[in-house]
Amino acid sequence: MALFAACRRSDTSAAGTQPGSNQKPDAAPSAADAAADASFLAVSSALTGKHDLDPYVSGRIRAAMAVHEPATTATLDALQRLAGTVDSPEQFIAIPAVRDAALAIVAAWYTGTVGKGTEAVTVAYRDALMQRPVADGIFPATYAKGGPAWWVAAPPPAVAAR
Amino acid sequence: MKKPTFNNGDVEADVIVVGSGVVGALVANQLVAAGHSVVMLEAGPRLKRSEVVQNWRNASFERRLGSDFQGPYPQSPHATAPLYFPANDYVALTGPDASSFRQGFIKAVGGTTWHWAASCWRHLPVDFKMKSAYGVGRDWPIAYADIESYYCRAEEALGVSGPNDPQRQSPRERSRPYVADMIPWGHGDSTFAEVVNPHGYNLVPIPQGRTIQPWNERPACCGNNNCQPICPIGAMYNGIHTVDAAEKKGAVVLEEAVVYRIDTDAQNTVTAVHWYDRDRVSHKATGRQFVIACNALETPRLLLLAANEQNPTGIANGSDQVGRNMMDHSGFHCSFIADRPIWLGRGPAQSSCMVGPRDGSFRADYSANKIILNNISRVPVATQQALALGLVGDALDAEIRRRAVYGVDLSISLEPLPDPTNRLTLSTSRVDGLGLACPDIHYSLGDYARKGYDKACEQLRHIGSLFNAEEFNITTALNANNHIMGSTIMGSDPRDSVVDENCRAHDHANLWLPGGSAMVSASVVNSTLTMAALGLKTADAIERAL
Repeated sequence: MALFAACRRSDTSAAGTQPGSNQKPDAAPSAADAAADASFLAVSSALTGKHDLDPYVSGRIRAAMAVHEPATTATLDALQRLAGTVDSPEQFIAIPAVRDAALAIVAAWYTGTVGKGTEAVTVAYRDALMQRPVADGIFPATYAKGGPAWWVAAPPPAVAAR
Repeated sequence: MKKPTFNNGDVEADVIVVGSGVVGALVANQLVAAGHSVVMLEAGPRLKRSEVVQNWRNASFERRLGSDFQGPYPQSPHATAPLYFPANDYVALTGPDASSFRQGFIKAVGGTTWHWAASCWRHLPVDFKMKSAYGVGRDWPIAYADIESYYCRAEEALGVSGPNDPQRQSPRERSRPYVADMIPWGHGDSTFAEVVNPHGYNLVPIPQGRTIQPWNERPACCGNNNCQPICPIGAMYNGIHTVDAAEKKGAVVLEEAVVYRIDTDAQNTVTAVHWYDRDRVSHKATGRQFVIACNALETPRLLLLAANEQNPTGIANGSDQVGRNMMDHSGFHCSFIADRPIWLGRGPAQSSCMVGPRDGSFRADYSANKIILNNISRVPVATQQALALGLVGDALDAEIRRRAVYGVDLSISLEPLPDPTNRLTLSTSRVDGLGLACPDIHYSLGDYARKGYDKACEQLRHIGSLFNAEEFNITTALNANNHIMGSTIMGSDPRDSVVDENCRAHDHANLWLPGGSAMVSASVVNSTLTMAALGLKTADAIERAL
């Protein structure tokens, strides 16, 4: 009889040790790393239109993409050069040479994940940008802060106040 | 207080319970409270709630979108449960609707109610008489009146909040109020009711195993919207709460103990079960009464694995019905964007459900259905859809908000009939980590439920029109709902059933098989409360036998 190869622990049990874990980095980054992180953060701000992005999440995305998204990583220099020349995220992704890489970086920030399948790296969950658009009415699952029966209250207006 | 006695790794107790999910735990808890010595043998490990929560928080976007509720749960290498990301193919599925039977269940102390929605429904009185009333399926050998008091006790054990207004109850026949009044509705539930109820869909509050005040050492529900795969604060009922209660009273739980063999004597009384520990060393548990409550997939698997000289086709299988008549609430989803804000994701995962289509004379012809307003946050789906449109910046945020606020998902359940060709057998080619045969399951939805699908689609299209639905979609591939039933079916005739009205095996006077596997009709409602009621009925019968 054949043994089937499924007798393994679920791959999430070691999640805490992956680059996507919720730990701050231990070692101080090298000067080259620090420069690359700063550059990636600047590119990310230009692509998302947000200027309060978490630098630790930014570093995790950059590190995970170096492993799992080589095409995007190869485009980072071009993205950095272009970041200062555009006025909006829409303008940025309209540049054909960098469009795919740009959208991949946006997706990583919003979904909190880099890569696919068993290779996927979670870089953020509570702080993933997808949580922000409805943060006035929905808590990220497992992060409820309203107390018992908070959901009985009327939700906010559908169009967010600016 | 009587306690189990250990001797060189073997154990002896009045009652041996195999399986530590909600049913096994309820039986163990009642019998230890009555002064008997009880051992629970659980194939899987003990879990830490915080670890599972952290595993889920760290899950990839893809697995979150795919509802990988199995993934966050660690497994013992000797006690495999299905996984789907990727699939581990522990169960081999065949038949025209094989992919609809991809079940999820947890092998760990506390069982599968670690990750459920805590929906605690009763069957209708007529659900017990499908053959007499509608000419389909089978009648139970008991009536609603025979189980009603057990439903009350199960609601008390699980801490069920439900509507005390009879207009909102399904069924209305009940002898005691719920433990607490209904879990209050949010904006989405109320809005939906205003729209659909004038058309007879009868959206009612779902009775749920949680409370909005602290209750029985559980905190109040704080709407973490994470019932599946895990309540982060333990407000929702989980089987582990009853296991903990039983252990405090002196029941002994042995985890990572995989039962594989059942001994019987000349009268076909069960004398012992044997289990492998985590080091694959075999031990023996002897007792006076034996309960197998491993869910309706693992219970028949064990009974077949344990076939012995006296019972060559499997323990308790004189009828050849062990593993047959497998049912689940095969289901599907309907999603759309409504014309008004719904704000799914505020509160527990399932709080309201349309039960109008739950019963009627049509059941002579096709399956009933129920339609749950699936109150799980739409944020991940909205994000996937908005990103696919190539949006960025403010436009991306606005689109995520629009889709999350106006998006609707409905979860529909069908009622397959018990069909002896829907069955579990032992694989002749695949074994698990202990060398025990893996399960094979053949599943065909059947014409009755397939016609019920078509009728449900008509209802869904009408509901969508009431909301001027955009991007209206009904899934065509059916999904499992993990409500496995029927595989040690209850009946009064030992020739075509496995257990009697107290879930005692016809073939073995001291063997009890309570739970979903004993259920005779699926109805369309979640099976857990009925399983729990059957467990308590079994516990009463075991007390009389001891």
